[in-house]
Amino acid sequence: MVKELERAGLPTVHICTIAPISQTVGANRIVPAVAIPHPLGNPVLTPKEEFILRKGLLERALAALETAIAEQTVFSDDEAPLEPPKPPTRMPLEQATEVRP
Amino acid sequence: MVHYLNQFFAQIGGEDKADLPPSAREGVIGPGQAFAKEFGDQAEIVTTVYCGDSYFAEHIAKAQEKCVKLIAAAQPDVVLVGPAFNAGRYGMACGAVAQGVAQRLSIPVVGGLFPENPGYEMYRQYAFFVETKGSAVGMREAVPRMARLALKLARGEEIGPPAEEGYLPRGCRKNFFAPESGAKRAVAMLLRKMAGLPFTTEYPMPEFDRVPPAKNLPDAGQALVALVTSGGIVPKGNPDRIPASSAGRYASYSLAGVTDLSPDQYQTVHGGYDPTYANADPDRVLPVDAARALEKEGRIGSLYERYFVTVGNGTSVANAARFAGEIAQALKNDGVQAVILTST
Repeated sequence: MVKELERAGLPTVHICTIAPISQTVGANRIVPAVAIPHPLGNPVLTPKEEFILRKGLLERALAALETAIAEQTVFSDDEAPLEPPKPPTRMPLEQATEVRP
Repeated sequence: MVHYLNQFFAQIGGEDKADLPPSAREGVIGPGQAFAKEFGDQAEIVTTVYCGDSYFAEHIAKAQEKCVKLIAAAQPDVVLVGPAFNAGRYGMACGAVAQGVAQRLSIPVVGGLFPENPGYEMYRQYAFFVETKGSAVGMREAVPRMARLALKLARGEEIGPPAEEGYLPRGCRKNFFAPESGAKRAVAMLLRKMAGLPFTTEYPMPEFDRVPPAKNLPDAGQALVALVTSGGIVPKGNPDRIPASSAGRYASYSLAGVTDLSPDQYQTVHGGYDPTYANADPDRVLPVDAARALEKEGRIGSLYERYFVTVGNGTSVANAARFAGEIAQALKNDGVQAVILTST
């Protein structure tokens, strides 16, 4: 969906929990979220702390929309880095296909 | 052999147990029994390793390492993962387990995935993934095909090309001596093409479906910004009956006068994650409260008066692309300049 919105010329930021999936599918601006059942919240926090967390994620998303990029970019929090997302492996053209006898 | 399963197929529980860290048990569980039947006395599943889908997706490196350790302890000849069909988190987990096993233990891995599962694109070179249906109705077909490949690998036999052996291409190239020269094969192919007969290319061109990034906003504080979600947040009662999985439609709802999504008026209908937290506070998926606060502060010019929603759970790529194409048109017609899309 993110890709089609961008294809139509709308800068789009994807706030999602599994950034590697978003990268594989081809989103360009990605903000990693908190957890699958609560991407923009965290039930162990107080409602006030949770709101601050959510607002912070949106602020990062807005900054992503304002950033000129040439390729896929993950806008993650430097203080709490993600587990290293493995970029989708693209092989060089010569190795990219199976060859049948 | 060792078999990897998620918490659901390991019969531990559903979404309520999706946070379970990796563990292992001796013998077969669930689909393992169907494999055992196929194997007969030729092979045995000695250990089943399992992990909750959300735990794996949220701690990929840690879960992968732990699973590889549990698998290594059983010293298998072959590792089975899934089949995971079109389950996104499970497919990613199967792929990550395959990667860890292939890279660190150099043991062959056999799995089963629907071709649109993101786990295939991301980890295809690490396992022989049999093509399956989109859901567990494909179990009966997937098991014998996975079992056949697993036995072949266990016996140390050579695995032929994907189309012949029934697995999805791994992106690997293998050299071999063809009986005829390239010139002869090319002419034969050309003649078939000219005669309108089917032919198989020896070198399919890879498809790179990448979209160049759209131009950035000069200032979000001056822009009309829309919220879109695949997290299934709808007005209570799901008036447009968006399905919990494999959604064939999306909907849009007014945000006029809405400053906070209250649990009395909104809920999630997404069937792919534990809905407890989203139902308790739908802003955790569709952040209307924080977006309104930022609008008030001038950090967002204004929030578009409607939001769009679908359920991204086993939704086909074709449907998702169509939804977003239509949504983009509607948004552009109303002068929206940027989109924040949230996913679970």
